[in-house]
Amino acid sequence: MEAGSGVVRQVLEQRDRVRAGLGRVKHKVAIMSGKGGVGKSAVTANLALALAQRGFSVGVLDADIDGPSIPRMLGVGGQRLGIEAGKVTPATAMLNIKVISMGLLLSSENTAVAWQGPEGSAFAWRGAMEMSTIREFLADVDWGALDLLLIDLPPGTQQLHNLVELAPELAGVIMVTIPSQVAEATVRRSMDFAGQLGVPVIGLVTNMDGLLCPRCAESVELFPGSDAPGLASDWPAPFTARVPFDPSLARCSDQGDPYLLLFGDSPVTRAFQSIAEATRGVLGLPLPQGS
Amino acid sequence: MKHECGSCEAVMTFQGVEGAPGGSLRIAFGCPHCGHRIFLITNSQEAQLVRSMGITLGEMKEHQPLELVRSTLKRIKEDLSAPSSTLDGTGGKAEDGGPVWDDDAEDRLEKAPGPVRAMARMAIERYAREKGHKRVTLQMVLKAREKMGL
Repeated sequence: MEAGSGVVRQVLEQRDRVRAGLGRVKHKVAIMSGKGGVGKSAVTANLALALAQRGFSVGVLDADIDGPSIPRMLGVGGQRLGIEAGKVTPATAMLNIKVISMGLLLSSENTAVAWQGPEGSAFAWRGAMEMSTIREFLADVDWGALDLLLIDLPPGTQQLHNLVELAPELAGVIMVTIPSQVAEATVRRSMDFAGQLGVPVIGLVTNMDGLLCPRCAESVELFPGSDAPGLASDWPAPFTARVPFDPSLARCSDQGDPYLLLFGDSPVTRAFQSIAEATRGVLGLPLPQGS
Repeated sequence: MKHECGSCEAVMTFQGVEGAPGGSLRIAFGCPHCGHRIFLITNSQEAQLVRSMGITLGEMKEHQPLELVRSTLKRIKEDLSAPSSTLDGTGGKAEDGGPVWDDDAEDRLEKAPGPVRAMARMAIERYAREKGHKRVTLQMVLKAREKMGL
């Protein structure tokens, strides 16, 4: 029904706003897993830090609408968003990382996301609201000039589909898994889905891959075992990486402290630095001058 | 979709949209010749679906940032109407305004490298709040310095 509202024109204007909002963002990279609980947001936050440490300008869009955890992990939970010149000013984390998240809009960290709308039919329009939220995050936030925008996707594949529709020039996706065949089976499905959408998988990160004993430095397996080589063989990605588990990383994530700055020489920090370097290499980003 | 006046056989023109009880929309069309009017009442769920796509029915207004999220999200933090305060890399302002910094504590923090300063300010203010301190002292900064290597 047209009703004089110019629906087609409005949709085109929405697309134009997204394009304009991301106009000075060089690369958009999604972080996803397909499965929850693999530490995807922690990987996103620490990859952002590692890239920013190398001198890149980085933004993080938390696309996990129902379970936003990026504000806490990057220590910006208390920040207040503002509007200037018709754009939302994102929160600013350490190393000048720009952050937008539903967590910055809710009245408290414990508040569940709930939308105003007809009772009893939310299933019919909730997905559209989530997609619109991501669209507004892309279009209406003052991202400015960024080398990379990391987009932390929620578990599942639906939001990747939405994201590709909104930002078809997505540079690629980094898949996160843990050394469990259940998780890896889900990641295989996610990789298949990314392939169907024509989105390149630029990296495969196996998170929580062994716990380094703080006393003897021997690695203790936390999960039954990985088929990472098989996964990498079936779904070749430009880089693969493993990140061991470190309880200090979990503590830093809870408190919003920058693990990479506080534990500069740990195996986990080195892993994230190598992931940042591999990401830079895949995207062909030159190192900033002076870094 | 267009509507035709049964008497004049003229195409009716869109006259406006207004809300109806239950989330429906009431859309008015009128005949340009005889003035006859009809009203289309939408299904509330369909109307919501269209709204959820960010489509405005009826009179167009200037686009506002995060317009849909801000108008539809329940229990939103606050109205994003004022310019942001200290989001320029010097650290975030806590919702409660945060603890007050002693001058010597502030001076010491200024000596930390720029990129680390914002992080240190947030961590120290968080620590102060957790401990119930209303002031940030030089001692607290020195303690953080040891921990973070500032």
